[in-house]
Amino acid sequence: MAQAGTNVYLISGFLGSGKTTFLNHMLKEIPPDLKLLVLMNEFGEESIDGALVEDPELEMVEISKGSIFCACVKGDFIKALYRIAFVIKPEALVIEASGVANPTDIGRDLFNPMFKGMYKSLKKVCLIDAENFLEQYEIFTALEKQIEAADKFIINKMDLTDKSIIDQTKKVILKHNSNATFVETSFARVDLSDMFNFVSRTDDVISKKLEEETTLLNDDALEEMVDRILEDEAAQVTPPDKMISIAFRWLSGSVEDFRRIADKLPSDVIRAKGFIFENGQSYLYSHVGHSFDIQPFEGSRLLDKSVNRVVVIRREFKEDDIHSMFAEQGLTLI
Amino acid sequence: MKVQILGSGCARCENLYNNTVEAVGRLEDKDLITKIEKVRDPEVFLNLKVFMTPALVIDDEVISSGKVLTPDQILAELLKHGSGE
Repeated sequence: MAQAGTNVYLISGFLGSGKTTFLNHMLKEIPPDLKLLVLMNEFGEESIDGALVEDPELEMVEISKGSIFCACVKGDFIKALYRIAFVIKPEALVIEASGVANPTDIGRDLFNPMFKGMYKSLKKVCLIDAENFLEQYEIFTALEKQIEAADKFIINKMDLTDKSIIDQTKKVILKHNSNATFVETSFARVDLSDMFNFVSRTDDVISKKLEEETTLLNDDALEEMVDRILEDEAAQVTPPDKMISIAFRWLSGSVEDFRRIADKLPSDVIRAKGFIFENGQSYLYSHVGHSFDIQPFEGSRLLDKSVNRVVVIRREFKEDDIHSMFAEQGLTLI
Repeated sequence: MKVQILGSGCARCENLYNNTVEAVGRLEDKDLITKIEKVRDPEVFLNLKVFMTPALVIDDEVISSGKVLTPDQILAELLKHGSGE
């Protein structure tokens, strides 16, 4: 009988640390006969990361929400996990957590009794942006949570910094997680040869359970279960870092027009990313920390090229300043 | 009495708002409520220490957070506040 249950890989890491880049590397190493699903949780009303996934045929579930406060983010995530566990039933599930997610919550959710043990293992990898980590760590509590919850740390972007910074970074991580193991790299490239060696375990227990109880919850019952979980968790929610996500969309204008805006974004912007189109060519815009780039982009996934779109994540709760910048460049936001 | 629904406008927020409108409609003293306000500003959420929306706030007191109360539950809270408890 085929093995039941799903092995889970959780990719965490702060905004811009290289999660999606790492995911793409990981996907290239998948054994061809492995049934795999990717679940992407993104902080932002526009789904940008989904289009960055390079395998055009990969099955994906995406959850993009613009508010870190919204209970619906959690609700949608739990409902997606339910459908994945009992309807899609992949052998492997890769979750790309949002850049501000608390991975401890995700770990706890996976082993909630409602999933009847269908999620049978969890490997947790955390991407660390070596260039910006020490600064981000001082400001954002999300990082501490991410460090505490991971097993393996990929110190990424080592080409953009030096040994002393990397050593300081590891020291901070070890302070919060004495079991941390490290790999240093650039562009999130690491040896993944042992990634898909699943920890084997007796599947008889799961198989038997499935035989006994195969009735799926209907929508109302599932909604009720989600409400109960949310109620339990509302009391334990830690204050999120103060940040908002804003999406900007516009139709016409050149890449250079936008570059002039990108160059002058307010200093409280933590992360920005998006797609810009000109003369049929797509460009990927990425801003992390204090620098940005705009590169031609050849994605394999279908991209709606009719609307330029950028998501900005910032600490100040305002958007008029950026709106004005678009107006100054003659770009009309829709 | 000031009633606010804190949220970003998703399905749960709308449900809480609609349930609140229904509860207010059942009040006998129609002068009790001045307005029901939808608040989307995350700054307000943080100031009130609301970390999961939607939230129901009556006269700056957070009544519930991260869930959708029924009209009956909301009515009970309104009456409690209205009587000065």
